[in-house]
Amino acid sequence: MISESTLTELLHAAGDSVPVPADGAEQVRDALGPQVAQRRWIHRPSNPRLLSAAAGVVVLALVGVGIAAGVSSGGGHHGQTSAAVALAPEHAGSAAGSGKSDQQLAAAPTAGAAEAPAAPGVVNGPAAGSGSGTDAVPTTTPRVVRKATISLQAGDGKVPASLDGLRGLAEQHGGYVASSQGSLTSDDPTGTVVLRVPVAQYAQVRDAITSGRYGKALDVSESGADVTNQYVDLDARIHALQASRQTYLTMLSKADTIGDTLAVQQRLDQIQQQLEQLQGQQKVLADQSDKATLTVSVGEKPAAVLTPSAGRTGFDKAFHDAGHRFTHGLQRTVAATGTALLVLLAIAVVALVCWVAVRSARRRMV
Amino acid sequence: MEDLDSWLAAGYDRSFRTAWLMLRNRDDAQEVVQEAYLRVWRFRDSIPRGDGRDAWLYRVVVNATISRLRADKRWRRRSDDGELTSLPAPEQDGPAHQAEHGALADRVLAALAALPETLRIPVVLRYYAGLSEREIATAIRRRPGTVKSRLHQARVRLSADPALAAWADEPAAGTAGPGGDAVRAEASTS
Repeated sequence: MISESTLTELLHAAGDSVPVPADGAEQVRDALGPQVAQRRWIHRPSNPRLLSAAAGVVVLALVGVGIAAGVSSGGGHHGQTSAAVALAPEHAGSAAGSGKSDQQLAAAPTAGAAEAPAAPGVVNGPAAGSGSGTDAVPTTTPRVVRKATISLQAGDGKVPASLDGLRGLAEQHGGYVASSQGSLTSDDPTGTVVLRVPVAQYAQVRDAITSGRYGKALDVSESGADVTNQYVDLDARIHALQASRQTYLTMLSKADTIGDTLAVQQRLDQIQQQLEQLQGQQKVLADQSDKATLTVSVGEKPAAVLTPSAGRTGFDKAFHDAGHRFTHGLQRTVAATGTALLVLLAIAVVALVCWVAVRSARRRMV
Repeated sequence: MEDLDSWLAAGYDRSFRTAWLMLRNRDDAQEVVQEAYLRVWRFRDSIPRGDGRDAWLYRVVVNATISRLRADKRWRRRSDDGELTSLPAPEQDGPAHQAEHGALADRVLAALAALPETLRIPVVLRYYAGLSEREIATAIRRRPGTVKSRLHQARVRLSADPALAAWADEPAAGTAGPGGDAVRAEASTS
């Protein structure tokens, strides 16, 4: 039988005689070129366990903050939003400046290098544009989504006139009626109109509605949500994607193989899709913050106010209390389930990260 | 980057030949080496320093080749039923290739091609790639005992092959035997 050493020599003699493609190494280098360019970001950290541990700590911290916020938010939603409105200009200015610069330094260094963060306490105007000088967006202008809900009591037979007056009021201030519905033929005619007016006219329109001209104001509630951060973040991501798109367009013009062209085109399509989604979100956000929404309900009688178990006695009171407690218990159960689900979600994320890290470590051993 | 590039280029020949001996197809071998080099790039942080990195590269190429073979349904079917069937004859690479091949290389390659894949792969990995039996067992997902058995079967078959009969029946740890000098001479010139 052939000895192992002889077989080794024979196989090396035969194997080394196999002709190697003359340009094989160059072909591999050419094939790796785009891969290297596209995969530069897939830089594996040197210690996946450290990464998974850090990710776990971050997730747990987020869960803790979320739970704490959930517990502490029981004071009332309305008060929180009111505070947001009051703090909106200063908070939005500083937050917008820092958020924008971070995003652009990380994703698109060419887009925002010239932008300076807003000075504390100063509400910036639209003059602070992007560094590119094109598609300038007033990124540091505070953006607040304002909403108001007003209930009016008009006199007998005056509901239709009140609704007409509200429509005219919206148009008079450069707004429009988003929706209108009413029941004017019943014994208790009521109607509701949703007005959209420019934010600058919001206070005047609100004051006009509650002045008594269209009926007695029974209830007025206002809310405001500061979306400046969200808007600026979207703006930065859009600019970064636009810069990436330009880079890939340049690569596409230089691609000389079908494989390269298809790969770049595929990436371009993905970027375009993301870009359109973000631009759509930004458009919606801009519309919500450019125009305030006022929902006005008009009726001849004041809205009935439910007084729980007032004046109830005996079985009526018992059944009513039972129903009330059942609903209350159900609410608490749902709330507790939500927290548990959040914790379970966090555990699942940590497990997923650990699994990916272990798999990555195993693949390193190829 | 430049160092990595030159290192991969220097190791290309041996990587390609190993893949070719296992796959018996130039295009497949080129693709496998390209895939292996891509893996090397992706896991460049794991490349060992010093002498060990050539062996590491070699392992990546072998694993990529094994993955290709495993993905091939024909291979999977043959591997599962354990039937020892022969592969088609190796592809012809034209007159230039034929001219380059010496008589010895042709005989060895023909004998190797006559082996079924279940025997040929361990032989290439053991006697050309230089992997240990345990490393081969890990690569082809078989027990070390199975690898040892297959290597023995392969040597028996190769010894019975008329093309290699001249090197059979020699002392296990001895010299090359009949034609052994010619083997070394041709090996050193190739």
